Amino acid sequence: MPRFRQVGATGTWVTARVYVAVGISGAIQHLQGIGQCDKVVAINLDGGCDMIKRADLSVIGDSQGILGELLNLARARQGEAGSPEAEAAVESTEEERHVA
Amino acid sequence: MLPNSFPNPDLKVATLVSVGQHPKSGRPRRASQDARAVELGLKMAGASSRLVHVGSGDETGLRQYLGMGLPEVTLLKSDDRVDAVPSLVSHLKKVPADIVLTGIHAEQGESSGMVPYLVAEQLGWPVVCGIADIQKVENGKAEVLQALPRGQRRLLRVPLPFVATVDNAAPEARQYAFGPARRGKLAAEVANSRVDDARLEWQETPAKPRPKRLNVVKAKSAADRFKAATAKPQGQGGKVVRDGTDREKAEAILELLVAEGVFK
Repeated sequence: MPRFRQVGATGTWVTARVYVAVGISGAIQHLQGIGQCDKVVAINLDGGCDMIKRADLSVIGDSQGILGELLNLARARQGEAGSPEAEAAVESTEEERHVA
Repeated sequence: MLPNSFPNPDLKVATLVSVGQHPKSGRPRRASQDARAVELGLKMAGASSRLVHVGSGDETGLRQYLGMGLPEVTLLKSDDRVDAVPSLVSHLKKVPADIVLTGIHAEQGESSGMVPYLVAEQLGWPVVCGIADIQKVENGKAEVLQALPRGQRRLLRVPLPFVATVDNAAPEARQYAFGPARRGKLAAEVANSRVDDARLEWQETPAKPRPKRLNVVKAKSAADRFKAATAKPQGQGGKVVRDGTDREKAEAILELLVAEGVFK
């Protein structure tokens, strides 16, 4: 993975409004990179990891299933609203996921 | 040849003085550096050293110089808008001097510190900046001690005539006395009155206090600083969803995304 895709001490420091951490345990080098983020959503199987302590909303469970459901919900909502741009917005927030 | 001992009444010393400003009250007073220059002039030429001032003639400030033991001050009358340099140059050409002393810069007004340099340039004399003392004058050369940082001194041999600015490292000016200050004369002379056009266009505003520094993290160890840089203040406690189906969990996330405005 190139450095610009990595978040944290080795890669880039991100300043997102909402940061979705999927399957990230929360190493301190990674937490450093997301220090400027406003809200953090953690999806993880381990309920006691450091990312859960940092996150504003933590969901304990399997990321594949949860993200699949999230995508379905987003599509359904988009269908109500009738705007095709919303999907891109969801994608962009989930873009940051990687294993740290 | 000039004899070597001080005070030497044959030595022609002129001191350029300005009216100072008390740093706290703002009242006119003798300028501290200029007073040191007068003190040096008194040491070198006694009461025969001259005082020259360009300005409207503020009595309180100027009389404090006279109170140091000098009979008169040559007052080149001009109002505050006038450039002082041409008046000083024409006066110094008319009444020659061996040594012209002055402070490094004025305590009020433009306070650029350029006057000694401009005067010396127009007279074609050398300038010595920030001197602490003049040790002796012989064979048309003066031995000048220049003040350097941290109490260091540099000995310079300067041919007469020259212009010198007096540093704060010079001996402190003597106390002025009330009687001589009252008796001293302000000998007004008509001066060159070329208005300083450039200065008229300037705007003056009171100095602003420095902005306060932001509260920086005062961490004792590197680990504390690192923690402060990384971690959000702990204890606000995020919501943790442990139970429920994937759909419920996804709903919770979507709710937050909508609430934050990243998903419409």
